[in-house]
Amino acid sequence: MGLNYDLVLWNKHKKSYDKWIALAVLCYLLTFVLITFLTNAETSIETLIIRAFGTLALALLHVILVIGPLARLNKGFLPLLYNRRHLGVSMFLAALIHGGFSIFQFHTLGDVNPIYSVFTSNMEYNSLADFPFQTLGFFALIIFFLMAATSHDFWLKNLTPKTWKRLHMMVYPAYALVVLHVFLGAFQQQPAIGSIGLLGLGFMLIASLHLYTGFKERKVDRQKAKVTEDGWEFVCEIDEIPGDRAKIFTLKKERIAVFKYENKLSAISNVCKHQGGPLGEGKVVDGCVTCPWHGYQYLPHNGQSPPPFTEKVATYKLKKVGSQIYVHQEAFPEGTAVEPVTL
Amino acid sequence: MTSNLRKAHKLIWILLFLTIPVLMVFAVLEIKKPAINDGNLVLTEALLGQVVLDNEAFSISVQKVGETSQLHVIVKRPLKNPSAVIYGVSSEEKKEYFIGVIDKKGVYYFQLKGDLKGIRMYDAIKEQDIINIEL
Repeated sequence: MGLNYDLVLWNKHKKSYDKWIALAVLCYLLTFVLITFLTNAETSIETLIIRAFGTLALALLHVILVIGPLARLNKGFLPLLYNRRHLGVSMFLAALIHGGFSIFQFHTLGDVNPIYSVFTSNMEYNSLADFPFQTLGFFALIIFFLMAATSHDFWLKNLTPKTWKRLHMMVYPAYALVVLHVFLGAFQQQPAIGSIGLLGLGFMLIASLHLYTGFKERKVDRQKAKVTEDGWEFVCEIDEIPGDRAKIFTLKKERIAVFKYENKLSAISNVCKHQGGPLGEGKVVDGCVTCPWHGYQYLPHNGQSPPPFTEKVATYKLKKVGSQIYVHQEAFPEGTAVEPVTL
Repeated sequence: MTSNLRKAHKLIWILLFLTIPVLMVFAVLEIKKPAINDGNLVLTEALLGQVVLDNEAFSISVQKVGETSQLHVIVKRPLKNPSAVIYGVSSEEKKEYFIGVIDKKGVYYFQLKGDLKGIRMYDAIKEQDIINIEL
């Protein structure tokens, strides 16, 4: 988290992840070129670039889409989530090279505007086999461009997190467009059972993981709590919360996080103001609740980010009855200080 | 994430899970069989006529049909050229005239005008000859 809008907030971990991304991309491209020269040496350089970067973008998109649900299932994947933004921009650049070279090779040699040509050179819009598949890739590329261009925190802040999140959820329809672009394009022209099977399996893996984690989350949301007459809900036994960690609890369909730290208990909203990360899955670092997604921090007793930052989340009142913790149903306004329960 | 965002994510993936595999199956079923397979490119006598070229990529022959001549072109494998236009080279002053265009793998028949001195297949985009045969 940074106060000023630097282009990239570098740290040693980010640099290390970016080096791994660059190395993986390079290895992929070299392997692709080598295999092409061994199996089809007559391929032109333009075709080689189009195919190498198209498949690279497709592979990166699958990795990007699988990181979210994997991080929900296993905290070991959280460092990948932290660096997903750079992976997304890398994927867009690969898709841009693929799309740019395709338009250059197939649409720039006529006397028609190349973009107009993408939409009009093939007008078989009512056919599945001959569908102008390039239009699907074009729309996906536009979405990826918007996402890459607004991936910086400047846009997150100025578009508002809600709008920004909606824009970035467009990656799902973009993924559907890409899958259809490949099935109605490359697979119609060069059907290979291995490639078709691989993309089919990739889609099933991603969709299954997203649905599995989605239905798993629903179980947490539907947990019924014991409510007392005066608006208090039973959360858990004190011993159930590890030190500097939290117990996530659903209150009126929204989640709160009850943190145990320095022999005290405090409750705040579970939703980080940055990108909606699950604060209750983070831990208390240097006295601050730290979001596991991108490291945004909040003071547990008042839900405020430490100065000079200005983010605030709602807080809740807790009470201890014997070894049991109760939370009051009503949330305090964001950033309201609440006296922690002392253990 | 808020509960609304979690619901939106789940709904999107349910929708994709139900629609994309169906479209994938339809797309695979629509894959066209190649017009001609390498394996069944056996030239019969009737098709052969006067063979002027027979290599890995093409089989080209000229056949008399009554008073006129036909040019038979069999493209045995996908062309590496983005454009392939066939011109006939007339016997008279070696003038070239347009005969037709070659697209994908398959068998092509073209009507010929008068006597030919040669056949030229030209890539107008790369600006190079693909084949240039003197008859």
